[in-house]
Amino acid sequence: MAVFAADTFTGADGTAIVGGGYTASDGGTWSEHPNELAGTACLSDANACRTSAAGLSMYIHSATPGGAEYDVELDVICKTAASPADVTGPAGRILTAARTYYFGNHSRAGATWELRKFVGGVNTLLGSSAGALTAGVTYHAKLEIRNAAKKLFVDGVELISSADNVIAGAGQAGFRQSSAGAAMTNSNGYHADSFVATDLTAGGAGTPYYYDRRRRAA
Amino acid sequence: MAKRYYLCDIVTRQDPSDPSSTLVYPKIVDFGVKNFVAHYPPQDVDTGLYADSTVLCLVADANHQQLQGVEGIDQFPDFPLHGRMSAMATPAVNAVQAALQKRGMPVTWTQSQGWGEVLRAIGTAVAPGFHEANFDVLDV
Repeated sequence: MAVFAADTFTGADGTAIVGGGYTASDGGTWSEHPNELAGTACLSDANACRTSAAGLSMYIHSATPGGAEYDVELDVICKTAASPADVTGPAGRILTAARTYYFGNHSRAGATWELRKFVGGVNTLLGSSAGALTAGVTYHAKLEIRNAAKKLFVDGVELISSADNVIAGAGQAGFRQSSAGAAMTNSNGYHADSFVATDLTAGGAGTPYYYDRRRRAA
Repeated sequence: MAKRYYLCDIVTRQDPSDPSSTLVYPKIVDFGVKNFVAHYPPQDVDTGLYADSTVLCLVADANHQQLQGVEGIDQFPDFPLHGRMSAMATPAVNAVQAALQKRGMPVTWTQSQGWGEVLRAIGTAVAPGFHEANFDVLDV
């Protein structure tokens, strides 16, 4: 397995991750899905990613996977309660020609982890698993994309497994972040961190990027 | 209480936080179900529209009684996947047959087949590619 995209969201507080010259820690760049609403993602004061104003978007890493089967991982950092509309989670098989992708996220409104797909503007709930988040705790979400199954893991536990494979193209990896009700601040909302995407091609760094960052943070 | 399978209606409504998109989910969600996975009919990749209005669900919620007798939600029996259809109680078999007939799903079986095989046939009738091994939700 090989890491093909990664970001530790390191930089000055308030730096927009799209445009403005920000470069991901692996040298890649971020763009917004052209068919999504306007996003406002920026760096936090603790090297993570939050929103700077109310908004919702899908952020796409510039790298392309070696095939259609890969994993996308993201830390979801639960700060103190903000808008009930807060959503953050990993996404894959993101196609830009239409609003099409798979994603997993935690919904504060429903107090659930969710596995979803967006196809042609239709947002389908493939499955959910109850679980409220605790302020101050970081949760590691992994979206595992295989042709036979799309799975959502949180902290290593498989929550949902779906046989859906309507979106067959490899697309790209990224994450969805929403604060539709109000902006996230450095102290509230669902911040994103430790983004890493790994495909099934041979080679790679050997040590997953995520764990390497965890060691540095410890 | 064990996980149980359901056939239920698909609900479609506008996303209140994103007017440009449509939300789709199984009707069980409107009855408070939070722990489930759903297998949908074929979907048009350009429009997102579904070919049918029935979805197969596996529900892990502890209380299945809240979903009994609800219009648009058909509860399948609590029966082992490896159990033969010959061992399933007649009222349960009749309920499965009635749900399939009501939804126009021509799934048949023999007495020697297992409930898991029948569920696989039902899932495949909803949409190709279904396999119970790739369809699961964390138990609660």
